[in-house]
Order: sequence, then C-alpha cells, then structure tokens
Amino acid sequence: MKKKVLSSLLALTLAIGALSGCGNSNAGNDSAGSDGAANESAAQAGTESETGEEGQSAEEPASETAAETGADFSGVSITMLNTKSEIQPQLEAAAEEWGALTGATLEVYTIGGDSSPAKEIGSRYAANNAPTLVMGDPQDVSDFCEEYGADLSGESWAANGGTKYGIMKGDVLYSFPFCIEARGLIYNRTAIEEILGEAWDPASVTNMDDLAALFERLAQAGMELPVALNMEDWSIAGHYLTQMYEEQDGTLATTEKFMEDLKAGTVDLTENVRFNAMLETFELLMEYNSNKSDPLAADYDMNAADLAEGEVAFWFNGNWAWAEISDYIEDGTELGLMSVVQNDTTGNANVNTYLCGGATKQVMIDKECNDEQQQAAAKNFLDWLVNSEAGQNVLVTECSLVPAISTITQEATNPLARSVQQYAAEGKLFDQPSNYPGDHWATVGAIMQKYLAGEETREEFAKELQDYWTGLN
Amino acid sequence: MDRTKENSSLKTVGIVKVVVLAAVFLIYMFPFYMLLLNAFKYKRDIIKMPLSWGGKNGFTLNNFAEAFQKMNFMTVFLNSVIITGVSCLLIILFSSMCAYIFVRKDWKINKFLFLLMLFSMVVPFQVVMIPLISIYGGTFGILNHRATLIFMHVGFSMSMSVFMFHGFIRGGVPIALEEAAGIDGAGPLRIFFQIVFPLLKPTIATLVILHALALWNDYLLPSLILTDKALYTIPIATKLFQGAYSNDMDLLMAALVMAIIPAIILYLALQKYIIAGVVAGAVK
Amino acid sequence: MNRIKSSITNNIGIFLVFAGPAVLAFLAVIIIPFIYGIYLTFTSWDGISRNKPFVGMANYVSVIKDGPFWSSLGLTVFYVIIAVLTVNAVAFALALLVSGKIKGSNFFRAGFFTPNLIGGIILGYIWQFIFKNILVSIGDTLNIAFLQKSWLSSSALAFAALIVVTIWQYSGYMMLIYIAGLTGVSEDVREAALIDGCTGSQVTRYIIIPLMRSSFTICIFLSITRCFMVYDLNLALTEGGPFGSTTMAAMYVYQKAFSSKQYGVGQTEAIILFLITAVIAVTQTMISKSKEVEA
Repeated sequence: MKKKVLSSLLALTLAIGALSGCGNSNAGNDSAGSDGAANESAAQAGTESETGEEGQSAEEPASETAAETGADFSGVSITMLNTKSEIQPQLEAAAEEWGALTGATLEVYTIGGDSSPAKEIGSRYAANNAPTLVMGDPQDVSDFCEEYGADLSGESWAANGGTKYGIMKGDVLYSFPFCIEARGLIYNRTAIEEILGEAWDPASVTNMDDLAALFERLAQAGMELPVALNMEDWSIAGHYLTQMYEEQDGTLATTEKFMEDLKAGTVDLTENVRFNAMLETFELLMEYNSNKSDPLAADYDMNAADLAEGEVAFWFNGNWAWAEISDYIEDGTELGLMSVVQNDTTGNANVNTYLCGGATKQVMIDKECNDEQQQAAAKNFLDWLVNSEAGQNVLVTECSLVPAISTITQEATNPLARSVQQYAAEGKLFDQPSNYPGDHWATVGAIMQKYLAGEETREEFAKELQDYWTGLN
Repeated sequence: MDRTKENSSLKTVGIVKVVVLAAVFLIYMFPFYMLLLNAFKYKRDIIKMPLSWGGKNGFTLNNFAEAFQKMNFMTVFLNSVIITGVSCLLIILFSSMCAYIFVRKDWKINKFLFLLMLFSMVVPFQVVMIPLISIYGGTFGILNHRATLIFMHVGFSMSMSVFMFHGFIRGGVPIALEEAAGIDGAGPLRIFFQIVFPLLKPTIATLVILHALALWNDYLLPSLILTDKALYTIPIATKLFQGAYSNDMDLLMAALVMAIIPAIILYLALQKYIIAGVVAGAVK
Repeated sequence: MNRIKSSITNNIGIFLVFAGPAVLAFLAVIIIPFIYGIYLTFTSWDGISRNKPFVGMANYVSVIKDGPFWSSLGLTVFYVIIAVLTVNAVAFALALLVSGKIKGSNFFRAGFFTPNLIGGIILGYIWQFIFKNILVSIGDTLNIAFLQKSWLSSSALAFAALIVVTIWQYSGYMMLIYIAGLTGVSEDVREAALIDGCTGSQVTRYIIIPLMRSSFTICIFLSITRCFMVYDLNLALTEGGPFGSTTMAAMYVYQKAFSSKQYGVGQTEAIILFLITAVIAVTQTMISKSKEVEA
C-alpha cells in the first residue's frame, strides 16, 4: 500500500518535472508524446498559449523597421533583469520614458548583492517566467543564449559594434553589448599634484619602476601609503588576475588558447612572463596599500572615499567605481584611469599603454517565455536606447556608461568613463573572453586573498592556480 | 536574625542577577544602537565615522524619506502585513489541529506523517528551491499571487509548529478534561476549540511571534514567488539598497528601522500573552 | 462489521478535518518538490538549460571525489557542535534569569529577543559593518590590540565571529521556547522543593530540567538543523572568507549549483548534507522524546 502511494507520488513528481521549463509550443508537444494523463493538460495549456500568441501577433504585426518611427506597443508588457543595480533608478526612469512613447510597459528589476545573475536566471527559467530582456555577465549569457536567446543579427546596431562586442555563436548575434567597462589604476591627479607640488602627467609613468619611484616620492612627501587595494574576490581575481590571461599577447585567440593550456596542465606559471610581471606590480601595490596593516579588512566604500578625498592617489578598479566615488568627491578633482604598468613587456609591447576591458554586461532577448510581440517590444527598447537622443542620453549621461555602439557619439559625463571612452576610441583595449569558468572569481579569489594577506608566496599561488585550472576537467 | 541575613543574601543574588542581565542586555542591543546611531547620518559619515553621534554633516531625516519613497513603502508594507498575518493565522489553526490529532490518536498514518515532518525540517531549502518553482511556476503557472506564497509559507512552517504543539499538548494538556467533555457529548471539534485550544495560549503566542518574525523577514522564498513589483514585500524592496559592489548603508539602515518598528510592536503586544500564560500556569 | 466500517469512516473524517489541511500543504510544498529534487541528482543539469540529461549515479561519484565539499562539511560539523552547545547554554541561562522575580524582566526578555527582528542577510551585513568598521574604530580609539585588526580577516577569528553572531541571533529565540517550557513547571513545584530544603541549583538540576525535556528536545533539534543549514549569515558576514576558510556546507553547495553551474552535483551534495543532518537531528530527538515526562 505504502509502496504504491510512494511510487505514484514519484511518478507524479517526475511528470511534473518533465513538464516544467518554458511552456512554449515545443516543450508542450515533446512531453505530450511521452506519457501519462498529467501531460494532456499541459499539452492543452501549450496550445492555449500558442493560440493566445497568434491572436495577439495577428492584431499587430511586429516589425523592426517601425522602431525608429515610434511603434505602437500598447498593452504589451515586458520585463528586464538589470544586474547593474547602481543604475536601477536611471533605468526605471528610462523605461517609463520609453513606455510613454510606445504605450508598452517595461518593468525593470534588479537583484541584491547576495544573489548571482546565474541563480536568478536559472530560477526564472525554472519558473517559466523569464524576463524579456536578460542582462548578464558575458559568461552567463554565453552559456545559454543559443537555447533561449532571440537572434539579434538583424538589428540596426549590430553592424556598429554589436557583432564586435556582443555574444556571437557562429554567425548569429545573441546579445546587445550594454556597456564597455575597463579596469586599471584609477589615479587622483589633483591629489598627486598637491602632494608633489608640481604638475604630474600620468603618461610619465611608463613602467613599474616609474610607478615605484612615484610611490616613493609620494610617501616621502607625506602620503605614506598612496594605494588602495580591494580585498573582494571579484576585484583581485576577477579583475586584476584576469588581466594576466588577457594580456598574454592581447588577442582573444591567444587568451582562449592559454586557458585551454592551463586546463590541460601544460602551462608553468612561474615561467610565464606576464604572470610574473603582473604579480610583481601587484606586490608593489601591496607594499604601498593603505590597507596594508590588515589587507583583508579593506572596505570598498572607504577605498572610494579615500581616493576621492585624496587620502590615497591610486585605486585598482574600473570605471563603474564612479558610482561610489561620486558620493565623496569634490568638484574639480581630476581623476583618470591608467594601465597596470609592468617592467617586462616581452611578448606584448602594449601592456603599459592599454587597458583590459570590453563589454561586461550583455543583454539577451528571451525567445522562449516571451511571445513575438514582447520580443519585438524589447528590440524596440534597445533600438530606442541606441538611436534616439533620449535613449543615448540615458546610457551616457544618466547612467554614466560607455556605450559599445559606435554610432553613439555623446561624450561621457564622468572622468573615468571619459578615460575609458578614449582608450576605446584609440583601440587601446585588450579584449576579454566570455568563457571564464563561472566559479573562477570566487575560487581563485579565495586563493589570491591568501597571497594578498601575505600568507602565501608567489610560487605557492602559482601552484594553487594551476591546480584550480587542471581541476576543472 | 537568620531571616534578615537570608533576605540580604537573596537581595545580593538579585542585584547580581540584574547587573549580569543588564550587561548582557547592552551587548545584545549594541547592533541596534549602532543602527539608530547611523540611520540618521549621511553616507560618508557612516563610513568615515561610524561611532560618532551625528557627523561632519550633522543629522538628517533624508535617509528615511528617500528609502520610504524608493521602496514604495506603503505598498510593500501592506503586502508584508497581509502575507504575514494570513499565513500566521492559518499556520496556528492547521498545525494545532494536526498536532492534537497526532497526539491523541495512535494511528499508524499519524506516526508516519509525524516522522516525515520531523525529517522534512532538516531539508535544506536549496534542495526544494528549484523544484518548487519548476512545479508551481513552470507547470501550474501560479507564481505572483499572494495566495501562493501564503500556501507555501503554511507548508514550510507546518512541521515546526506541529512539532512544538505536539510537545506541549502531550506534556501540558491533561486528557482527563477532554474525556469529561466527551462524556458530556461534545464532538471532537468542540472539544478541541473549547478546551484544548485555550490551554495552548502561551505556545500559540510563542509560535505567532516566531513565525511572524520569520515570515516578516523572509527574503528568499518571497523573492522567488513574487516577481511582480506590485506584490513585493519589505525584504524584497530593501534589496534595492544592496548593490553589487557596496551597500547603500544609509538607506539600508533607515529601511531597517522602518521594518523593525512593526515587528517590535507585535512582539510587545504578544509578550503579554506569554506572561498571561505564566500566571495561568501558576494559578492552576 | 458495519460498526467497524462506520468507525473507520468516522476516523477518516476526523483525520481529514484535523490533519488534512496541514498535511496537504506540507506534502505539496516540501515532499513533492523534495522527490523531484532527488530525481535531479541523477541528472547533469546546469541549472538553466531545458536539457536535464540523465546520468545515473555519476554525480554521487563526483561528490565522493570533491575534497573541498567534505572539508566544508567537516567545518560545518565543528561549527554545529560549538554553536549548539553555546546557544543552548546561553539561552537556558537567560530564560532562568528572566523568568525569576526580577525587576524589568519583560524589558530584558524583549531585549534578548530583538535579534530576531532582523532577517538573516541584512543582519549579516550589519554585523559585517560592526566587525569591519565599528570594532576596529573602537580598537583604534581605545588602543585595544585584538580589536584593531578586523576579525573577518583571520580565519580563526572570522569563525569566532560567526559563532558570536550565531549565539546573538538564536539565543533569544531559544530563550523564548525555554521560557514557554518553564511556565509549564509551576511555581508550586519549585517553591515546594525550595521549602523542602533544595538549593536553587538542585531545583534546576533535578526538578526544572527533567520537567522541561520537551523544550530541550525542541531547542536542540532546532539549533542543530539551523546551524547545519547556516547560509544567510555565512554569506553576508564572511562570504566564506578570508580565503574561503569559513565556507560552510550550505554555502559551498549553493556555489556549486549556481556559480560553478553544476546544479546536479550541488543538488547531490545538498541531499548528502540533508541525510547527515537528518540522522543526527532525528536520532537526538527520538532519544530525548522517549525520556520526556508525560502530563
């Protein structure tokens, strides 16, 4: 008796399980063929939603060309997952503005710092409730875009940076590159000049020795520890260390090959020029780290405040940090971004003049949980962001982003974004791959924290890092 | 003489107790003191001078106004009240009835279910999280209703409540009273509601407090079920202040203070019943 | 025959009325998803895709080889032992103290319970702020050496910080259950024992504790299960750091499922965590339940 109950319970849950996932027509049909009475209702549900879709799309044949002229999407309601929570209010305002133009409603929502985009997206797909516009990190979007993403190759912006910075699978473009971000040393020029009592040009720092000399001068002039280093795993492993992969020779192909070699275990990092040069500079930064007495207690906000107020002169971070810096900065303070300079430039002569960066947030349009019309509305929204003056204004002025689309020519509003914009315009950015393992920053971050805390030598760190990569197989 | 000596030593013990309690109390309240201290300050002062009363820039009520507006406080507050209130009501009702029958009827199915509930309390939420939303979202498509969340809250809280009522009914409700009522011809429902339920008051008050606060503060489950902004609860709304890189401590603290006040009121209101229970126990 | 039948239907009726709603909600929300969850441990699902390839026991094999999982589990067991003992000792002591005739006992009770007024994640952030900014700032001002460095940057102290916050968080909760239990031990019994010449500690040891077994059963059970599942606090307070040294099992499992995109493996590890907790917690409960004094 009990066995029977148990086994039927099991059968029921499995049937339910088989059905979940996005309730588009394919899923419905596939499972209807297999087994059980439970499936019938699902198949019905499937056809119902299908006819619903048809009815709607018959009413309003969505066309992409209508976008520029202000299409009518009255009654269409779409959602967007925003994983850049610092621009949430700006995006909400933009959604409202766009909604007023098209009659559609766009609800933008964000996730807290405790949640990861992958978890959010996974649970939304499990619930058959995926947002129409899905913003994610490149590796997230890259993982599932072929299955869930709409083809964006035909969009107006595709040729102007879309295919260059977006996620491509074969010839198909799956994402809108939302912004370009680059990382490097943020300097506070005003503070440096004040301390040194003379004009200072960031271009005068051409390698690590120059940087060390500058630190020494600053220290002697009274700014004893002129550098702020973050302790967060995403910062040290996700942003600093990854420069090492990306700067092997600066091309994406080599970076990807290098990661393959690491996985295969054929790389000896202690012999690698870039690894050593990069970490030599890291050790220099550690030596002058304002959090030196307790490097793992570094506080992100404190670092931002220290840099803004000129307590320190350098902070390793990226242009997104403007969101926090701007809370503390006084008007007229001059900031900028420069390369993490190194002494040994063998194999890549550009390391001291380029930044590592690229399109760090990708927006995919879901095609499985959202009908044609919702997809068309979503495309229209992206189009509006890129092609209308109001939309460009949102990206550049309101959100302080550096757009990846070349037709947007507005000048960035904050000094860090302007810096990145200039590097991008001059083609001085090293590309970043979109296929870092999902746990790289967390796992390697934990290892690198030991190194940052001085509890591990460079050799030990190299060994553990190699073990991480070979352990992925 | 002996008596006075005894009295004075009792008094010293009493004083020592109060002093110990007061010291522990201060430690317990420390985070709240910090919360209140910093909720009225500007962000830069919170980071730079966490201990100072006020800061370089003085006091501000801005944090509250801004948090109130950004969270859409009235809406989310109402949602939280409805969801917490209705869930608690149903949890208490269903679990006390269930525990009662589990204690009083020695049926095999009762034993089996009780054991199952015990085991279920150990299930990490992560194990059922994705399956839960695949079933209720993917298959039935009933996410984004307050009723769905309430149903789930009831389901998840059932084991612990049944477990607690079970213990207290077994240990604290004399069966003789019920037998007498049974002889007088009262049906099981009447016996339960007229005799047993009133005796459970202290446990009910305890459980209401524990559940109400847990539900009031629950983030993960509601965030999975309620994705429509109009249905957000307070914890979902406060996540807006937890950025990817750093938290807006100023707004977060103000939001917390606003979220805690109703919880304190509820607790203080219900504490009376627990004490009423103490008195009732003493009289009996 | 008929009589038996009608009594069976009667019993079924009683069962459905009394236990029906509770059991239905419980089965629908926990048990059915749980069974489906077990099924997922036999797949190599990545957590996002629609494809959930069936792989049999492969996940279980890879869990056995997953060293970091077992060390996080070991750490969790260590944490559970310390946390359960300290939380319950503190909670019981507080309950005894505040339920005596003491001035302002209500005030104290409310105070000790307040940690429960804040939810897990946010609570973690507040404590992080305290450990990182406030204690360090106090240490600097008063020149107290062990506060000048953040506790969160050393593995031993970060673990201690987790224990401290756990005690702070749960002792008020458990205290409340102990208080409810103490009210079951009537004043008469206590006073009678005192008149008979028992000392205060004897009353506690021989009268109160035995009569409160059900409270102990509940509190120990709850603290064991909660501590085994610790996640929110772990994530928000230490984020598993420094250098991953405080990553507990639940957090590890979560990362495995969602950061490493190995949902199947993560789910399998979660099930193993469940089994271990279940065996420990339920055994403890069965043993102490059997010793409870019935009224």
